[in-house]
Amino acid sequence: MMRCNDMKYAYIMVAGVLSLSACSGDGTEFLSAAESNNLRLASLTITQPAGLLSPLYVNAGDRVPLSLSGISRDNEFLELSPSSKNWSIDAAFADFASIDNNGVFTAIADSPEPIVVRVAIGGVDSTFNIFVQTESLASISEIRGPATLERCLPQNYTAVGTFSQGSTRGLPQATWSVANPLMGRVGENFEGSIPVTGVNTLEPLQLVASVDGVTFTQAIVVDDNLQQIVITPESIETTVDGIVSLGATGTYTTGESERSVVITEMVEWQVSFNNGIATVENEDPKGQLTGESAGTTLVSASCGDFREEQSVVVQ
Amino acid sequence: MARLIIALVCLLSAMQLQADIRLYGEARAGAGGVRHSDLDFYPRFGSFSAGVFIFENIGIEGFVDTSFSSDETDVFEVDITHAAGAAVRLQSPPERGLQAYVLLGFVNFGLKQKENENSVGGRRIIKEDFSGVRVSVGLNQRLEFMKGLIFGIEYRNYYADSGITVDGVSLGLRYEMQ
Repeated sequence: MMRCNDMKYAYIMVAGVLSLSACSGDGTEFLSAAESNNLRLASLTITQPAGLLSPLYVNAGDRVPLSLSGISRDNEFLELSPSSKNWSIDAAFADFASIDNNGVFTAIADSPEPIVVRVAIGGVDSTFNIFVQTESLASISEIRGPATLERCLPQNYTAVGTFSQGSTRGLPQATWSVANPLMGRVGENFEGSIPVTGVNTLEPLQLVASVDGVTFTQAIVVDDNLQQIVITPESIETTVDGIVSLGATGTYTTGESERSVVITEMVEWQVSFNNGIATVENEDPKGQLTGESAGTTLVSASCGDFREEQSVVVQ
Repeated sequence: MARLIIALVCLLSAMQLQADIRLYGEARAGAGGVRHSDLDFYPRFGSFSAGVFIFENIGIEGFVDTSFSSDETDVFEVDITHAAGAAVRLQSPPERGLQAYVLLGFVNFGLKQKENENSVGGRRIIKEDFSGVRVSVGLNQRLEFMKGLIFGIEYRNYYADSGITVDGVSLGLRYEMQ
C-alpha cells in the first residue's frame, strides 16, 4: 500500500517530467506545403499597401503591412492572407529590419542596400525589396488620379511626395480638402486613397493634399456630361410610417455613346416642401423615404445644380 | 536526448531506494495519426519501452519508437521517423488482472513529409523535430498462461503545439518481473 510520503514523490516525479516538456518544433512548413497544394499555387507576389509606391522607401521606425497574392496553376488570381506565413529577411539585414509571420515589416535602421523580404508557401516563394532610408518630406510633387471627373461619379486620388534625399514616396497620411467646395467633395481616406466627387461644372475642382504643413493643389475638370437623373420607382406612393427605398440613375454621354449609372449614394436627397408629409435619408440608408402624414409633396435628387424632382403621395 | 537523460536522473533521484523495485519491458505495434490542413495520415510504428516500478503502481520508463511504414494522402507522404522520451506511469490496482493506466511524459519526435509533386511541379521533403508532452491512456490485461505477461491497448498523443496533431493507437505485450 502506498504511503502519503510516497505520493509526495509521485507528484515530484510528474512535475519533474512535465517541467522538462516545453514544446518546440515548427510545423509551419508542413502546413504551408498543404496550403500551396490546395491552392494549386504557381506563383506568389508581395505588394506594398495601397497609397505607397514601388520601389518602396520607408523611414527607420516605420511599420509596413505587406500584402500577398498569387496565381494558381489554372491562371486564377488568388487574394491571399499574409497572416501565419513563412516571412523572412536575410540574416545579413537583421540589424536593419524585421518582419513578423503576418507580413508586418518594421524598419529598424537605415540600410545601405535594399532589404530583401521573402515569403514562401510550400515550394513557391517571392521576394520584395524595401529601402530603409530616413528622409523628411521636401514637397508634394503630384496628385495621381484621373484628370477629369464626371458629375456624381467619384474617382480615387493619391498623393506623391519628393523627399530630402530625392526618393519619391506615396503619402497615405495626407489630409485632403476641396478649395472650392461648391465644385465637389472628398470622401474618407481608405489606405491612402481618397475618393473625390465633382458636383458642379462652373470651374475646375481644386483638390488640396496636405502633409505636415506641406500642401499641393491640383485642378480637376468636372465634365458636364450628366444628361439626366431618373428617380425610381416612377410612382412614389406610401402610407403614414410607410417606407420606400428610392433610387437614382444618371445618364451620361461620352461622344456618341450613352450609359446609365446608379448614383443613389452620390446624389443629395431632399423633400422639396417642409410640410411634414415625408422625410428622406441622406445618410445610410441613403434615399429611404418615410411617410409622415397624409398628403402630397415632392422629393428631389440633386448633383450640384443638376436636380430632378418626383411627386410623393402619402395616404 | 539530453532532456531525456536529465528527466530520468531527476526522477530516479526523487525515488526512494526500495528493495522491491520491479522492472518491466514492453513492445508495441500500432498506427499513428498525423493530421494537419484537412489531411490525415496513418503511418505505422513500433514502440519499445523499459521501466521500473518505484512504488506500487507508479513507474518511470523510457521509450523509443521506430517507423514501420509511412502513409500517403493526396500528393503527400508522411512518416513519424522516430520518437523517444521518458514518462511516469500511473496505473490502477489490478481488478481480475485488468488495469487502466495513464502515462505522462516528455517526448521528442521527428516528422517527415514528402511532396511527390508540388504545385510548381517539383518534389520536396520537409523534416522537422518536435518536442512536447506525451499523454497516454490504456488498458492492460494480465495473461494467465504466463506469469508477468500482459496484453494491452493504448491511445497516445504527442502534443507539441505545432498545428500538427500526432497521436496513435497501439497493441502491445509487456513483461513485468515478479
